[in-house]
Amino acid sequence: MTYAPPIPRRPPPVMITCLSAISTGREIAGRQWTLPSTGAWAEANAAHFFPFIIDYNWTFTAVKGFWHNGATVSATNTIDVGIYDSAGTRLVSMGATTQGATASVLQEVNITDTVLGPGFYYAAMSALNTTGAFLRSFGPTAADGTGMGFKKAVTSHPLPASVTLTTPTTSVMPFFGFSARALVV
Amino acid sequence: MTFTPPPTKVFYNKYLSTLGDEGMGVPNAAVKTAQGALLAWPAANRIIYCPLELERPVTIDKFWWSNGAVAGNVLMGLYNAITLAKVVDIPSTVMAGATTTQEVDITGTKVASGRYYIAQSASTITTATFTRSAVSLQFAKAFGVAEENAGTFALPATATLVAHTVGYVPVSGIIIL
Repeated sequence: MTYAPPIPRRPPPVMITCLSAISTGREIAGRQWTLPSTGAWAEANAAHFFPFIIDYNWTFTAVKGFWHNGATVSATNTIDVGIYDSAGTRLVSMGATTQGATASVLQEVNITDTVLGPGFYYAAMSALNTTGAFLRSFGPTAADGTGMGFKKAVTSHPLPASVTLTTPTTSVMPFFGFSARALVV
Repeated sequence: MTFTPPPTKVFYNKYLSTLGDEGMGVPNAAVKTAQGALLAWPAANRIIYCPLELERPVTIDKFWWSNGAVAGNVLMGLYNAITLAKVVDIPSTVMAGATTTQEVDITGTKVASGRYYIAQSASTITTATFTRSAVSLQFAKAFGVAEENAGTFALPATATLVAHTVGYVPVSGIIIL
């Protein structure tokens, strides 16, 4: 009998965003993307997706979603955040929620506790209109985001049960994510 | 014949820190956060918890932090991020050695792979300063940083996390065997 040592697998962080090591954080850091800045949602009813993985032998229980409001907020805009599997099937979402009253801070929302096993996932965020602003990262060309696995879906607010993921036309990615603990903000 | 897959990682960096790969190094670099100027602890006795992910079991040999000016004492410990139970800590230690990395030995402590918090507290905000990341408060929260303000200079048996109030990520961590 031969001993095979266990292969190290990285546990997921307590908060998952596009900047996490299990997502596209290394690529964004390596490519020296522009510092995240505030800006309007680019397209009404569109959704943005970033990939992340949960490594073998680990799980992540998402209990809260969050995003970073920009320099202005809008009471007429609603936001949805959710998680999809690699085939574009929704696993959980919050449902449309009004953008909060406080600019330039994280806004958290309660979601149904959802256990993610090992696998490949997409985190998703959509918005009703282009009022209000959000913090977002962006690279110099659309290809930068595409090359990291960013996706987009039109006419996807609130987040639908399934989506057709398309190639985004910009590399903009709003700063949002999911938490495995109740404390976020 | 049995196939034995080669180990994917034989050697492990011995210095694991709040801003290393196992900590918040990747997201911190992704937002281009500079290492800020030496700064006093934000509040006396405040405990700051910074996430750490261990992909394999390790034996902790020491805790370390990075001094600026020295005064007062420091506490450091490791907490299980799921149960929030304290795993191991150092005794209250007098800061010594300005602008150096200070290390404190502990009895070798084995910890399993998983998600943890590195906890640190300082007894005074007068004179003493530390090396830290100048990450914004909102990003620090989004990366998992939290704090506790129990009012006494001690690390509790079980952490009670509250929202981080001042963006302050100390450069500190553990040294493994």
